[in-house]
Amino acid sequence: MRRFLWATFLGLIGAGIVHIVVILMVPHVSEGAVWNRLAEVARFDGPTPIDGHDSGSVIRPYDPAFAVSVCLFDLSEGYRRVASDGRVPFWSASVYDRNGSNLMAVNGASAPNGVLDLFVLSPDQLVELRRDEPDQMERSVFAETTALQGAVVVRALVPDPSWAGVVQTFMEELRCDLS
Amino acid sequence: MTIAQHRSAPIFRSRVPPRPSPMLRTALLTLWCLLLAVGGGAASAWYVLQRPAFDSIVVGSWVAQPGAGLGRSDPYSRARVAVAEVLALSQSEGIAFTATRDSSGKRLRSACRYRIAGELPAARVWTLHAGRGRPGLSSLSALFQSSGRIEILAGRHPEPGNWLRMGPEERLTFTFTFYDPDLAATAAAKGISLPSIERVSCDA
Repeated sequence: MRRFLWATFLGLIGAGIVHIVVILMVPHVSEGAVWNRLAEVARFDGPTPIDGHDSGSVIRPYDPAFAVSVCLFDLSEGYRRVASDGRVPFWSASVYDRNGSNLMAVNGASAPNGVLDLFVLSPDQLVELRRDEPDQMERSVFAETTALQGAVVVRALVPDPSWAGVVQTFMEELRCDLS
Repeated sequence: MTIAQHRSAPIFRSRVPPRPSPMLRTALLTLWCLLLAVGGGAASAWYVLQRPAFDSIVVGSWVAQPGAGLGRSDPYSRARVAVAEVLALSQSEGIAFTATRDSSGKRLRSACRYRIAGELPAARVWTLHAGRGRPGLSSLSALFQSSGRIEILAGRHPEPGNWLRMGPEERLTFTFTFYDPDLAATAAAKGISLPSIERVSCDA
């Protein structure tokens, strides 16, 4: 009986260790799951409009008042500039790594002049850009990341149907240029 | 022959069950220990990731689960984000509250009319919609009362003032999303107030 209790005790300690290991391993094991789903619907060479209607959408939560586009990036090819000249009542842009962790978010109220002009770059690319184009630093928002691959989600509010055209123009002018 | 065998069998052995050899006992105990460790560890990890986040915010009928995509880096949040396999709204970008019941605890029904009234938390923009695929209300299209409160009538037929259009679906959900919210308010979410959902009337 004493040996049985001892084995149970050791088993419970082992369960604790396994629990911690599983929690730590999950992000590594399922790495790329979101990424694979994104790669099915979005492109690398430009923004892709996402219709969040179906419940299996990769963008959450679904909000019918918003138009949504996604840009995928791979910084090994060069940095990305996500920009649109369109003016909308409210926009929001969010940078994710390939695991779906949010890295940063910016919106029309927090961006300089309320214009969407977001650079996604690695620390090295930021140093280079700062050296080559110091003026750029004041006009744009910079998302510095060590993640090589990821996605930028751009949302624009359509307050009522009369704004649909303006928001559509904003989304059509959206660029995700590789530099 | 059989009688002789009976006689030769010692009586005490038939009373005490045969003890397994020490080696077999050690093997069985080791197996039990391993099963407990692997099974218990995996099951508890699965359980923790499946159930709602520890930090879900409940305000009246409204529930927000800022568990995914929070930008926090504790292991549980990262595991939860990985399991969810979606790009979730980060808390600095927005926070979504959903309600499936009215303020008296009754399930929301599309055959009823509801009054959603009260104060809203500070945010740049908010939107409210019922169910999926149907345009809702936003802070830029809604009418506010002079006191800063808001009153919205939700139903399947047009209402004067702020009307939230509901669909015919049986399992009705209201979703309030606050974009660019006041982070201090969402962090101390206990203090924020959200409108109550009051059932006005029902058809049939």
